[in-house]
Amino acid sequence: MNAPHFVCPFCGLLCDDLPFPGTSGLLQTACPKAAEGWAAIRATGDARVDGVAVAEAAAVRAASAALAKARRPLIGGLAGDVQMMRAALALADRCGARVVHANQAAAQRNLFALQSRGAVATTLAEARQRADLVVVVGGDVTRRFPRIMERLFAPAPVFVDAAQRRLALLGVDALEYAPAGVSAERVDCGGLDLFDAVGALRACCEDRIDARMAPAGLAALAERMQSCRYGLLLWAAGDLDFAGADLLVEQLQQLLQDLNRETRWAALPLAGSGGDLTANAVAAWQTGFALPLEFRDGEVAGDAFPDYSDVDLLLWLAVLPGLTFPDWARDVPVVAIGAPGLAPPGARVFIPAAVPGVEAAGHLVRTDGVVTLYAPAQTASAHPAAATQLERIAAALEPPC
Amino acid sequence: MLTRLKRGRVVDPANGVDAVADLWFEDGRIVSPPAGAAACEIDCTGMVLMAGGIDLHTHIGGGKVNIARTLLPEDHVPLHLAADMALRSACGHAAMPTLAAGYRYAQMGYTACFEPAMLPTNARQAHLEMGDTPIVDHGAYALLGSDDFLLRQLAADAPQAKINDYVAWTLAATQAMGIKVVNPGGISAFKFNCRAFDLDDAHPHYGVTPRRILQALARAVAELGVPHPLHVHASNLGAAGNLATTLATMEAVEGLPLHLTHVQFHSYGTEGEFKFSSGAAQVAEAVNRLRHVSIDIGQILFGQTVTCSGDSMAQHRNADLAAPRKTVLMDIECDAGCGVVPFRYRDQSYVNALQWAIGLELFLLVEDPWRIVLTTDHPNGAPFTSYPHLIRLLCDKGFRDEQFARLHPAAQAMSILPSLKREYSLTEIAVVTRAAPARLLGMAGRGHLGAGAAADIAIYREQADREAMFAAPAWVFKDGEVVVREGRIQAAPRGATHVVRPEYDRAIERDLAAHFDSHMTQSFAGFAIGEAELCEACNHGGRLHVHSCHTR
Repeated sequence: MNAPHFVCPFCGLLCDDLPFPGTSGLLQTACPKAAEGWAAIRATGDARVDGVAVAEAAAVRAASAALAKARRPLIGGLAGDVQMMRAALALADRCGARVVHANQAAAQRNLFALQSRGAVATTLAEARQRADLVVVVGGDVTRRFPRIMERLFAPAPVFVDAAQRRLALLGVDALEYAPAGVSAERVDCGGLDLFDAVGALRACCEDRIDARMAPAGLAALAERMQSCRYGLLLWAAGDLDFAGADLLVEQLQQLLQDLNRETRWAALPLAGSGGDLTANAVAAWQTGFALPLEFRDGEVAGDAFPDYSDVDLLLWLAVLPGLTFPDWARDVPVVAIGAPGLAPPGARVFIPAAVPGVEAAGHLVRTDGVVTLYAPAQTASAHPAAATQLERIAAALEPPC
Repeated sequence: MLTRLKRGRVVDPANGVDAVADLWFEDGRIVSPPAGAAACEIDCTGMVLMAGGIDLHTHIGGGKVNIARTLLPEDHVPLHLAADMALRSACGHAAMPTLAAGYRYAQMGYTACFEPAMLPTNARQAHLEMGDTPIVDHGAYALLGSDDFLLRQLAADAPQAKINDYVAWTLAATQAMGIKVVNPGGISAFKFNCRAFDLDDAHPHYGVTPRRILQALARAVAELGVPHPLHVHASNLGAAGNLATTLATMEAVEGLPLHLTHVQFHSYGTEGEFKFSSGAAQVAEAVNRLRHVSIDIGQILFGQTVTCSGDSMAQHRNADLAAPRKTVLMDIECDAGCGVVPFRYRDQSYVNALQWAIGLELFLLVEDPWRIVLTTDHPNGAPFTSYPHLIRLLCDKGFRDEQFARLHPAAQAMSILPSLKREYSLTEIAVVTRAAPARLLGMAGRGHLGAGAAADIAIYREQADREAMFAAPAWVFKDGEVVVREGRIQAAPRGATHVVRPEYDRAIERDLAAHFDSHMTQSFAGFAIGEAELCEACNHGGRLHVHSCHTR
């Protein structure tokens, strides 16, 4: 029997071209993000209530009791697989909870732009096979996605001459993990900030201004953007951590729409780490709404500008590493289901659960939002999957919650 | 539990029945009238009994639908389902979420739905979404024809046997019920910046024509014995004058079975002041003449909706018509693409009004109801929740005339609709909403009420107002379980997944593995969806129905 196919769950790229490195963080892996992931999780851990190790069933009962008592519960974190998210939404519906992913702020930068102007997007394979000009915007995407350049630039593309490919950096100084054999050229924006630089690019591409009025670096880029065969804009919303970033994404999408009147361009907005695309996909298909959302009185509604000041219980779900625990939740009672090693500080209840793709099988959505991979278990698990733990909590609830 | 549905009018065209009779079922199946007494009797006097409805073309699951949902938070109207039935909260209108879709289909007496455009690289998501669609059975057609593997094979003149193996492998690997082709080759051509692609145009990279793609796929589907004919979204969707392409497409497959989908969007001429006219008469004449062709309509109805299509080329063309003005276009994974364009059909728009009339003209001019299926190409022509309204338009000439009188006057002048006196009978409605789709899909045990069939039954109170009648059945049974009573959902069981699995030579997998290495960004080893994954993980433990293929 062959070893099960390994899908690395530790960033949104979901690479499935590397062998399973084993469960110990000490084992070699080619990817620093994967190494971080392995270092963060443990194979086993105790269920705990108020810091004391207890049987899992006791922790489940404590979680259920806390949830039943809460008036404004929030289910957050949400770093997990499709199955966990299904169970989380069912539980939230039953309890009238709000639901939000820990990467909400980044995800909304793309979401708001989508909902106001639409998008032109592509997937990893199209990007690799076709792009003759790749423009990285706003941040070094390789820090969050160390293998992205490797996956975009190797092996050789099918529809474009490898030697013709160009890589430009807009509002980015350098790439930590640059592709082999392709030099990254930093675009000189002539002192313009990123908003103005993109505005100037749009103006040049739409011939609204004489290109000589724009900084020379941007005018040259605009020229190349209009003449390439298939261009790719690449950004990671997590890097666009400034006010109005959604408006920048909107500008980028409008630039793409303009360019597509004559040639072909698309975006690959990198995301998916910590299960954010997975959680949003399930939320959207079941309820219609991307996160955050709210269940209340038998109805579900989007909750785009949430105020969490009245949250009286946070059910934190994290069977994948890499989430930032929110500052506003420091003083909120926390019940957590997580991979051993991922318990948030001060959690009143902690229920250990298996890591999808390592100890439990699960479905995860890849960075392009199109390819969903099935990540089989690689090892036996000491703990059930997060979905199972959530179902146990739901089963222990006295109706109506 | 042996159940007797007493003295209802049983309308079961597959078995030639339209008569007041008793209908019996037990353990989820229709049974012949037994000797013993029923444990449960329901008086169906004044009611019409039909098999559960089957929608063979409805975009209920998969990437582009989920993009549409995300794109349009303003679309999601609450359903207000009673909380005491342990149902999930649900909302939705055009870009219907899965929970709402399952509940609303069941509330109309539908018990099976087929997603017509499942991209192989997105098949897992489609099955996960269908698994979260309660009550109704489901299945999907895998989309081929712009995928680089097939185009490479055709460009290299691969033998038909190899195409057949690839098609069969795709059906198995994606757990599909049929094969669909969308704008054959055109989605790929758009990636090479080609903006229009007609039946005999050569692909800019592969040199292959849509005609060749259609022939290869139609032959594969036929030779593999897949019951559902090749499901074709023809070239030139929505373009004035596309009538010629549609007629040529029907002839292109040389008599092999062909299902032309949302044919309303492909029946346009270029007559008149606005250079846009009805081609319904010519298309209907061809369908009447060509026995190998079946169609569904893709009727449009007025109001806000969203169009979700794999046809990125056509959707890019439509982007400037978006209402609200936001469009999503995607190129997808050496596989296909998609485009999502919100749209509001208006009866005071000449083009929209004529589209409405063209759909109805087709319904009324195609003579054989067994080769025509009622669809709105949900949500592209209208949300599926408008089916009862559409049924009334077909059954009630007076009502149809009233609606026609509201149209843009120039559109009225360009339509023969008022001259078409035909009114659909209940039998014909039963054919186009259940019996014909079941037959076209090869689902022997569905779409009829003969002994042995699944006890998927819709019971409608007979009313002259067919819209009211079909909007709210008195009872709906799914596999013998009461799922709807007087419009209220009583239970939300898991639907089953329907698939076909023709035999093939596994040698094709060597070529595919090499193709995955050179073209794709996931490994071949993890691509195929296994049966356990499908049933346990995607469909929450739901059942699987594997329909037989009869190899020619």
